[in-house]
Amino acid sequence: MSRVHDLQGKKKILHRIFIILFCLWIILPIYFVFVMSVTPGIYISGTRYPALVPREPTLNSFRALLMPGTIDVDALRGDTARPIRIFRNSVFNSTVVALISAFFGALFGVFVAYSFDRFTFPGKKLTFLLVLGSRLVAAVTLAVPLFTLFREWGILDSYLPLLLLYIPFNMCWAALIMQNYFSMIPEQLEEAALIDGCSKLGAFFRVILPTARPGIVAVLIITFLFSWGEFLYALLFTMSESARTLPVALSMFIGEFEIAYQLLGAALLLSVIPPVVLGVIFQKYIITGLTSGTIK
Amino acid sequence: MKKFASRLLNEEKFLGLLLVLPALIFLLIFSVYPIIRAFHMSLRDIGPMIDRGFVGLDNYIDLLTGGRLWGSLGATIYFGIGSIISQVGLALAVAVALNKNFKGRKFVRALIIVPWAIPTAMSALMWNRFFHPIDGFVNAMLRYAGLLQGDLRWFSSPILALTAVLIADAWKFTPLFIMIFLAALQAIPDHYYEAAMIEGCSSWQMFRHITVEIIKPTIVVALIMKTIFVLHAFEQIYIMTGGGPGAATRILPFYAYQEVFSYLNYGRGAAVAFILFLITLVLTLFYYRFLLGQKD
Repeated sequence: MSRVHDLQGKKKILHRIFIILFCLWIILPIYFVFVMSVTPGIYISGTRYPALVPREPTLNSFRALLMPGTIDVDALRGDTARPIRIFRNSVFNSTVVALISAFFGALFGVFVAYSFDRFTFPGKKLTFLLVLGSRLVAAVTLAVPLFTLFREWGILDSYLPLLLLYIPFNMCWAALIMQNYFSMIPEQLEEAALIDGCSKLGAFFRVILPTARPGIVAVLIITFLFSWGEFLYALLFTMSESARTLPVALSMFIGEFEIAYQLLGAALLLSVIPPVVLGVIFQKYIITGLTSGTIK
Repeated sequence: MKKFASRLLNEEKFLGLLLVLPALIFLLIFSVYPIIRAFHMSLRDIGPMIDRGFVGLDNYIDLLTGGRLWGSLGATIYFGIGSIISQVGLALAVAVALNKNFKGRKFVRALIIVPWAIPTAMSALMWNRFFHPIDGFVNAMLRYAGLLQGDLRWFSSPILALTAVLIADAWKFTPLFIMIFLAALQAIPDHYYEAAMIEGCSSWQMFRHITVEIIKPTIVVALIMKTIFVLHAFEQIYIMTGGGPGAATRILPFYAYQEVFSYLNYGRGAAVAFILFLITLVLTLFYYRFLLGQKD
């Protein structure tokens, strides 16, 4: 590390204060959700001086969500039975939808990226324009006409509308990120494989895909996180507990029920743990994936 | 037959097209067709049960001569300018700070992944809770600090509601721009700064003439991305303010949703959605032409 990135004296102190303030700004909201999740509602709900540190902490809300039946939920105060059931169903729905749409989104995206980077073919420009352009279109612009279309098809309130929309969205992100990766892989790799008797497709699957593994990991994580958190389509195209995903289910926690705050805190914390853990573990891949297209 | 198939698969034009085929089908059905359908809907007087048929540009004329669209456009501009300036500015400052040497750099870099990984809907739910006038943590902290006596009703005043949404939005979205700027900063060779130091440049001069000059294209990319995010923003508004108080935070994507799903006016909602599409298109082209100086 070069000396040009060192700071001295007053500047150093100001710099450290700024960094600490920034960290607090990021951490505090999550800390407060944690406090909410372990502190009995009476110390928070309705009081003007709610507990800012956990008070008489219990894990009852987590137990109620993860192991229902083992705990007397009335102790949590507020409506509990229905939110607990909805939470559990929606975790399942979110996981299924996110896994399927991340996989197919990444797969088709990788195909597109490789094709764009290596081949010329009729319709290439059009496809490229569609992939780039579809990122510009607001979800709500598509949601309005698609709502009536899906109603005609009779597929509302199932996984299908979500999968049919998350896959192309994921695919476009994946294509743009992967194109950067493929452009960094020298074509000599394929040429060598072709000489060894591989077909073009064989060279792609056996030589190029393994080489591009870091990019594929990034793409899978990013697309999984998007599908896990998508809100508008899930709100409009699913109506019942059987298909509703987590973000929409949680948004009903504050709207429909006089919800126990402790339960809301625990549900929020549990539903952000998977994306945050994935994000932190794979941060290197993700950062490269997210930024590679932007600094050229 | 088998020989023919394998020859075809080694044909660049065929293989290239084959690889983008799934993507092309998805995009034509779920991006291109809905936009055409939205435009078609916007020319009709249509609701959930009734279709009074083709009305020409009546929906657009109603929108342009009524107050709602313009009010919504105003809210979009406030929200847009507020979030673009605060987030791109803050991200640049944090990225410059993180590019210095200090202990705990790795920790802070892992920390910025966290808000990025948390879905917007869940971040909005957290902040909605924090801004609760009675037992929200924001007011609680102000009270503990002695800065607040009664209740600050965040979602009852237009300016406070906008501020609350901007704060929540900044928490969620600034980290992405920090990652992007940091990647750009790290790509600047140290010897540029070393040479400037020998010349006796101040840190401000170095920032202004080296850092900003080099990462200008990245700043433009961030501006484009944030503009698109603003024109796509939905869950922050839906969860935190519902567009209120009055119509103070009813930004365009939320307004399109309301026309269709609250006022049940499909035709007019489709018109708003289509106008939103056009605005995104024009703004993106503007950025590319005038800020990046690119022709296509």
